[in-house]
Amino acid sequence: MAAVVQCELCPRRCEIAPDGRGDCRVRVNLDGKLTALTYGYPCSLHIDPMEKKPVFHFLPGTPTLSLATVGCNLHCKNCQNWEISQRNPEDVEAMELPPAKIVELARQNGCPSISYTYTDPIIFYEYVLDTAMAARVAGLKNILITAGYINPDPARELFRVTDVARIDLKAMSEDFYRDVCEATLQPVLDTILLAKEMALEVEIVHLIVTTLNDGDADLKKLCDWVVKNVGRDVPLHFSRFSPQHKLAHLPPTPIETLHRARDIAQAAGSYYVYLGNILEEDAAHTQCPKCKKVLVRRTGFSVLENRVRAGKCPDCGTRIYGVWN
Amino acid sequence: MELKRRNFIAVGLAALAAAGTGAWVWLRQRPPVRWLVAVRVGHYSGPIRPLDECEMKQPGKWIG
Repeated sequence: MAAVVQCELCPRRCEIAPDGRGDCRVRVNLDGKLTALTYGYPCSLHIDPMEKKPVFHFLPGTPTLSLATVGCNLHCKNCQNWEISQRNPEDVEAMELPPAKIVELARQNGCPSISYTYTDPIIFYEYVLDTAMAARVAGLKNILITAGYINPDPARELFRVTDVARIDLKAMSEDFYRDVCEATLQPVLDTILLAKEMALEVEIVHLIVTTLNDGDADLKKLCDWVVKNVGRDVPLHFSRFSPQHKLAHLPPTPIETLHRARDIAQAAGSYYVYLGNILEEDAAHTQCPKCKKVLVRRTGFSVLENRVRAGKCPDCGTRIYGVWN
Repeated sequence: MELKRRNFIAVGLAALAAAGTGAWVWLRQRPPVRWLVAVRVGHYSGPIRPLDECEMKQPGKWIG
């Protein structure tokens, strides 16, 4: 009789009966072995601008080959990618692309980096590891776009081959994580701290959902935690919620709420605060934290001007967080 | 004498059945085997489509 297997990848630690599958839908027990159903089978592969991730302080204006497999270990009610994140592999088309092929495609198409994104790279962990290692050998960079719901040991292995961790911090509330995402908060905080400890370039995205995590107290708690524990220089993106999936009944985040969030973050001491999913003149510009001159002008996902030179402000010489070329 | 032998056989069979059931229950309850790194699947369980390089060169419709 095949054994029950326990997956140790994420805090759910699913115990999977023979022929059963984990909560993420893509890790199954076949003949007593934990098996990754989507290794080498991405359902989405696109060349995106770096700013779309969003990642603003790493090789700005460059293309990044972006991929995902089906599945996710969170079940956010507002997920905008639910058509691939909340589905089983047998229900979604995929391509057969081993790690070496992904790297070859990135090089052929002039992409200096590969992004593991759209769903959550944690659930295609082995595929990310092997592709990222091959990418490093080829001189490419690796960018993880993740909700950070992973155990420390596999996180450490993944971060060894990662250059950028762009992590969603959805709330500073266990209630929100439980009720909206069916997850918990603390492992995400631990992942952010680990990424910082391992000297990855870290950027944090906080999606502000109307009525659920848009209060001043919530925003202040998040900003204070980021500044105190991760640093003033870690870019903080506040993103506007648009009604989706199981939260289609809620209104979009008012622009004023995003402005308020930015004010709270700057008052907490955060140097680089950006507003996403809105088209506003200065929502995505990078300013020098010291002399306040605009260093990088962006509109949408495009970089109009980049004045950062050798990683510094050309006007006052202040070191600007990130990797600029 | 025969009656006693029948009783003995019945009790013996019942004891074997009980022991077998107990062993089965114990085996079912053994701790799960912990795995961190999964093995690769041999083939995808869903439909496969070829890579479309024109589609690949367009930005994805998905967020992130």
